[in-house]
Amino acid sequence: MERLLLILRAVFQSKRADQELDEELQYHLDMQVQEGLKRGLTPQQAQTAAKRALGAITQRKEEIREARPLHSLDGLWADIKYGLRGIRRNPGISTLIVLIMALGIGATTTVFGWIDGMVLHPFRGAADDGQLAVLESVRANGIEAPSVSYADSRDFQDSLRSISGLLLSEKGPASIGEGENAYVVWYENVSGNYFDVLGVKPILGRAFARDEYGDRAKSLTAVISYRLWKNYFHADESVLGCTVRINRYPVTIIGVVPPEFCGDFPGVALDVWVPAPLASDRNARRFRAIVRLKPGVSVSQASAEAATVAARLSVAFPKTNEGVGARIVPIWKAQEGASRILASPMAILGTACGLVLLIACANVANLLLARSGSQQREFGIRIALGASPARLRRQLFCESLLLATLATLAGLPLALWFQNLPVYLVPPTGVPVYLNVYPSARVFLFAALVCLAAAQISGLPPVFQSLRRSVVDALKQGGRSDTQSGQSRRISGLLVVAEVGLALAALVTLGLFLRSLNGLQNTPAGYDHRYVTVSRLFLATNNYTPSEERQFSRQLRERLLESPGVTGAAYSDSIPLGFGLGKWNDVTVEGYAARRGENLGVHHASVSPGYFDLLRMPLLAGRDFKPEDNPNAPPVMIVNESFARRFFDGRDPVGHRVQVFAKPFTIVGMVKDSKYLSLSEAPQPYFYMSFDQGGGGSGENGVAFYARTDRDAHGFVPILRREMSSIDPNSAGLTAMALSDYISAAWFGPRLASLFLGVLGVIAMLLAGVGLYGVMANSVSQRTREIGIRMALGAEPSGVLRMVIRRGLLLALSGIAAGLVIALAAAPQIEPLLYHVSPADPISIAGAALFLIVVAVIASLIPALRATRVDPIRALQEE
Amino acid sequence: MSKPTDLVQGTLDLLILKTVALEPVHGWAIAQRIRQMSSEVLQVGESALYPALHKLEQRGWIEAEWKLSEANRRAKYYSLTRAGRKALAAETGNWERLAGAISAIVRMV
Repeated sequence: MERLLLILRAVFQSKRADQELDEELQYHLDMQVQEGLKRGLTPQQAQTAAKRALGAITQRKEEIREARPLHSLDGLWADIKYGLRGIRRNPGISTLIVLIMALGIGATTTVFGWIDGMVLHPFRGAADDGQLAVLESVRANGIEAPSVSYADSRDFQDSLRSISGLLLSEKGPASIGEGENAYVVWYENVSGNYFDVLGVKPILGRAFARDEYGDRAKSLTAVISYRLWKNYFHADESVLGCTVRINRYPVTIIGVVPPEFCGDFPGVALDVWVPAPLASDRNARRFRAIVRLKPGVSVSQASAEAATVAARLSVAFPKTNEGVGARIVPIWKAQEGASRILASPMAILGTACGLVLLIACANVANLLLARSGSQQREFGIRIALGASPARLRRQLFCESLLLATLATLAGLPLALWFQNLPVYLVPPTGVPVYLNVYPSARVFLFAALVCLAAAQISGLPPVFQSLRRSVVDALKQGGRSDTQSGQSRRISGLLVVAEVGLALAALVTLGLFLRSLNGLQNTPAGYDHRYVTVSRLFLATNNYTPSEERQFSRQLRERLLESPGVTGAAYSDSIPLGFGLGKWNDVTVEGYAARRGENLGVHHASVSPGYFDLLRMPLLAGRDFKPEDNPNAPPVMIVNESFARRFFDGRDPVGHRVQVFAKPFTIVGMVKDSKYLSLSEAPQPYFYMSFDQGGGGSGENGVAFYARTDRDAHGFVPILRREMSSIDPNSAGLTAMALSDYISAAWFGPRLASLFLGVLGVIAMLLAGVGLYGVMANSVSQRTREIGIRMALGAEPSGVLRMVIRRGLLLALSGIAAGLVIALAAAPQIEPLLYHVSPADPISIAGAALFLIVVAVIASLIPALRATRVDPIRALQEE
Repeated sequence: MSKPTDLVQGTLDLLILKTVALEPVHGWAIAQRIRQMSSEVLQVGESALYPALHKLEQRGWIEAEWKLSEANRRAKYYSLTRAGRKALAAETGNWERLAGAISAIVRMV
């Protein structure tokens, strides 16, 4: 209790404590004087003797103060005031420091926000999303097919002890309402526990019952998004219990979810959820499965358990489950969704930002160092007067922390403003986009941590310089820009090396990524997408049967071919290079002896006649599909070169037979390889079926209509809509875009990264250039006196220049060597993110090194020239 | 900024505690008493005394009170707390053990 009082007193009455200390010492002094008088000294002598004896104590006063509890708080306000004064004293340098730091902190926080929202926490509105993970099916090498069947999921739900819930979802397009009022949205078939597992509570009505399932024979129930409720139902609360037609099924709306929840599929905004029908076929792997881990269970533990359950299932149901394993992965590692697409570009961005931040810190350290040069003398005096080094260190840190705080205050709004930039860069793919770009509390916490770290890093060199000198040294020469002591010269030299090293690592990394993105964009996709408009018709939303769908598509193609300005038309069940995963099936090739357990999955598409011609994909052998290749004719397929290479050793595949869907297909043609799922993929086997004989266009991709026209996508829509409604007035669901826009989806992640990397690159070059110039110029100008002496002793200007430049180059080269070490050490991490560029790419390295050497030479040349022109006498007198 | 060694520091604390234990005294008197009691052998400088006093006060071993002195002036009187009394006993024991050990060695050689 008493101790508490003491502490409180120390906090609130530090001034009074000081007064009391003074009074106490005064009393001591007076007693000492009296004692002196008693011994027979004159009053004068007694005073002097007493004062001399007590003189030493003023030095210890600080020590006495430091003994007080919470002493550190005591001087804090003084430190802040001192720091603010320092900032105001040098407004130019301070503004520059704040600007540089704001750039670094702003960029880092922006990218952290992106990673945090879009990659790590894509399900906004879900409770405690850190416990959510994705359950995926796994097959040995080859095509990844993460979907899970309804029946299998029941077993996982019942057997996995590491999870508290498992939900299923399957997304697709849907039209709400009919005719003119039709509105296309994306919906999901979900398991009844969907909202329970995600922890989403409706703001209106109710969620599904835990065991609710969809029965198409009866009226379905649906939960809708806040967005849909607001836009389509005008936020009418009486919407509950209403029956609307979704894909022409009557559906009763039972609930509305909160505005922040947009579904469980990263990247896609979902608007309607309906219960999925029960299905017992274990082979029908159509669902995405999300699990909620029990508290304290790690993803890898859960994954191991899932693998054992999958192994048990494959023994129990060999027919459907042999060779199918399971794993549980964090959301950002899941095969499907925007998180995965964004993960690696974001990792690159994060690395680049970190490097830029370090460069910014080095710059700021240098500016602080230049400034603290003039504080040397002041510090020397204060140490002599009894200030403890800890106190001065704290003061310096307080100063850099103040600057970093100002920079964070400036950089944070910038970062928040940049948060939704990705939304504008998403390519149009006809799917409503939802990315979590809303900054969470974590972003602010991160900004605060970066602020602290930046203050610490940039404040370190000045602290070293100020405090490692002896008091005498500081008093003797501090505050003069004279011949440098070995110590400060070493520090500034080290800073140059650090700056060059970091800059080289950053510039090389940026160069590598930019070059590989550039290479990616120039990769030939294998077809000509210019002047091609593609439309996605979601015919499933018309509730067509497959044969109605085929008939509709055939009629539409014929009508389009007759339209003015249309030179080619074709359709297929998918569009290459989109966001999707693509369809695939196992094939059995006659005459090809498969190894045991060989993954025979091959991607495929179903296309109409004229598809290859329209996209200018050369037919290398055989023929194109014909309208006669319909369900009644023998099934045919066209394969690509890689298919022929893998299964026929490169021999002509035409005439061979392949089993797919348990039907024998005859190969009638071979086309050139192209890119199917991503630009960076290796050549892979692929086959095409006739649209009329394949799976058709139902499902989430709809039917893709391609037209080669003389106008842009925008102008093509009215034509398409007119022709569509002339076939079926009720047909709904249509989006159109240029094919080149659509396939830019394949570049979304890289494009976002390259855009931001370009900006970062400019910042890094600027900071590195300015910083390097600053450090070099500073270290050269500090040698003005030395140069003056040399000149006075008769040194030639050219000799002096050579000396200065030699030192500059030496430092720059050591920095480059250090940077190369960093860059090469990071190579294994960077390599998988690169495309057709080696981490030791000579062009990137040479470019960065050359740039830095040029800056180093210029930065040492200019101040050296200035120094040699100064009259030696003046240079010496200036001191 | 040379500091007394730990031994001396600890010893000074002990001397102060012992002095204060008899009756409440002010800083000046503590220095005087130590000098007198040690027959002028131990001279405690102000620059060591006051930091030590304040440290002991913060540690809660002694407490201070402003009172009128014999010279009829306000002075800061220090007295021993209960914790200080325990500390004094412990320190005294420590000191005696240490002193005994040292003198044993010194005498032997």
